[in-house]
Amino acid sequence: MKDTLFIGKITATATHEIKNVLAIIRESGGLMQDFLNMVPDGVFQHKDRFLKILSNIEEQVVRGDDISTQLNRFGHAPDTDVSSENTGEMIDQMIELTKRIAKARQMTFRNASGKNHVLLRCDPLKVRKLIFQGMQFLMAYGTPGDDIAVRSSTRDGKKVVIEFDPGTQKITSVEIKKLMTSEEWKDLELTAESLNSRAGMDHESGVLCLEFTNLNTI
Amino acid sequence: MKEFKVLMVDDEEEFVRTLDERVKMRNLDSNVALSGEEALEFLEKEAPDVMLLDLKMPGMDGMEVLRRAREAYPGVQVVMLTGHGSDQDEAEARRLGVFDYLRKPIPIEKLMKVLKAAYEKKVQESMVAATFAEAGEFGTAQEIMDKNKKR
Repeated sequence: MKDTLFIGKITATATHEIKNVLAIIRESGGLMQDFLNMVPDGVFQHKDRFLKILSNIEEQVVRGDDISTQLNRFGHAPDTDVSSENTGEMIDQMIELTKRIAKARQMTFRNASGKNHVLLRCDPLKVRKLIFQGMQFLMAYGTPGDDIAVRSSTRDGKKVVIEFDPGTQKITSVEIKKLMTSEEWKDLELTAESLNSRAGMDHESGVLCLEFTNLNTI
Repeated sequence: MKEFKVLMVDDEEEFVRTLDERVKMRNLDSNVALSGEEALEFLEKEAPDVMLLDLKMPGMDGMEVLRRAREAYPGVQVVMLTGHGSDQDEAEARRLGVFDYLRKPIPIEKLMKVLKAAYEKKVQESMVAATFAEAGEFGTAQEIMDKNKKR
């Protein structure tokens, strides 16, 4: 068994259990809400406060469930060496799972792919790693407060492109050239090459672009 | 007087018992089975209108229960409620004739809406078949029942 498959299997199994735990918390909180709603107004002076707390619990359960769902799907990524993957879903997944790292850097990432489904036939784990490396690169060299739009699209009906757009350019093209000699960039390029794809950064706009050329798009 | 009878099948006892209580508070005759095997035993003895069925369970899984229930008890509408079903699982469940395929967690009011819609479908189908049977068109009534079974 490959190490990645082992880690993925354990992750997927554990997230399944976490989802069950969250479902029990949610329904138990819901039952308490049901009981509280049966109490006539004025009888229990803390009723509204309790309902607010239960609503907070429910919100956090939904949040935990979203993370758990994405982590479960991520855990299944090493299941196959090649499969057809929805790029928008992969971007969503990596944004959700790395929110904490981005928050520590006071940055946000958002999926700006829209509703068009771009499918990519690829190594599911490696493409996720490449998306993460793109995010990590921008987190290392971006500016706190950056709101980075990540979008996937097709070009010429053959190429699949994933772009990381920081919006307003805050660093000079000279600085960008320097960044592209960094270890992080070299590492990102290596992953890109192993996928027969190409990583580039526009010196004027600061947009980081991953271009998948030799893979079959569907 | 309860509105209609529901069977909820899930191996997560704490979850299904709590949900059972909430559904009962909303005036449904709710019952619980903690495994696929237990669900089929219940179906043999009683006639729920709607079955809420978990997909992944130890022993007989939800898909097998669905397959057997649609074959032997076509009048029971089945709603799947699963935590981690794949798109392929959903396609297979729909092919087997599931009324709806839901993913956990689901707000209780949305769940109630689906259960009621499933019950209404069951009533409509029974009424259409009964109308043909009353008119002496037993073949057509049987065809409707068979069609419902396959759907």
